[in-house]
Amino acid sequence: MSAAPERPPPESARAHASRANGRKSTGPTSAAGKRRARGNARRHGLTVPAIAHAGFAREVEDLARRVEVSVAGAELDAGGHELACRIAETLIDLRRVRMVKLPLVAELAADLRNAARPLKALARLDRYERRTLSRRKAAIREFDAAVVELAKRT
Amino acid sequence: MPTSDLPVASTSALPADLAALGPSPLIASDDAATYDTLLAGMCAAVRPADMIERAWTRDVVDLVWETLRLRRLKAALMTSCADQGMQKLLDGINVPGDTCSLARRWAARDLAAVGEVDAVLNAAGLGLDHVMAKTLAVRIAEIERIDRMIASAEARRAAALREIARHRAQFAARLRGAAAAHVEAAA
Repeated sequence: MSAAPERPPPESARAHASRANGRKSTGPTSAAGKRRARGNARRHGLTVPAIAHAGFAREVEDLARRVEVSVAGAELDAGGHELACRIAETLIDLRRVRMVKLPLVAELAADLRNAARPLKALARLDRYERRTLSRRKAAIREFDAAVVELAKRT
Repeated sequence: MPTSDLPVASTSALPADLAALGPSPLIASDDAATYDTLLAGMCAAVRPADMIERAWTRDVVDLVWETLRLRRLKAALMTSCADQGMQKLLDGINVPGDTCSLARRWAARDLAAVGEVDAVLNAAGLGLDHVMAKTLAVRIAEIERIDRMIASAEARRAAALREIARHRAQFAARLRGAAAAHVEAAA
């Protein structure tokens, strides 16, 4: 009579079963399931700047023109427009970060006894906001310098 | 989350250029009229001359608003968690019985509980300051996080003001240059 196989301790038995079950899974099979699973790692999409979203292209263009006309008094050449587009992108990115923050602020205000989760998420989003502000500052400085150069030339 | 505290995305009160920067950052418990007054007052004082200055002005207003809201939330956090501080304090002086229930009833202003707690604290030479100190100790992580967020909002506001000054100085220099060139050409 052969000896019974040694039973793993309870914690690792659970992990073992979980791994075995996981190996049986081949992931979602339907198109809808695959589409949903593609977004599993996505939280707020803020790491992708507005420029990478085709949906923002028109808005970037419009905002950039507004920046050009309001600062320089007229639409600029391709170089100046490119710089204005960079400002417009950061303006849209900032708006996106702030809109993601808002429901968390509402959650925080609604339930202060459970403030830890929304506060942690807000602190993380603060980092995105600071980075976007820094990008905007650089873009505006470059744009301002280009407008000064343009004024000197004309 | 209760629907009454959902964010309010309203752009109706904003001038067109400011509305392009996104809706006002208000939640349902915010006073929209006060925000609009702050924004209008800031616009009147700064007189933003172009889209970039309007973006900075809007930033300053939103950051002032954020700072005030965070300060309010910090105070409210201390008040809403005062029962936890009270329980710690009661446990610390070895009050017998269910201190958790007593502290909760005290926070709910149950008269019997308030009387009982007052008697216990008086006997131990303690007061409301000690309760708030214990509450701070219990919630120090959240309070510190809010303080950091307030400091960050204040730093961003100062940076926006510095950038407005820099942008305007550059505009003034440009204006001086153009005027000088005009005078030279006319001479």
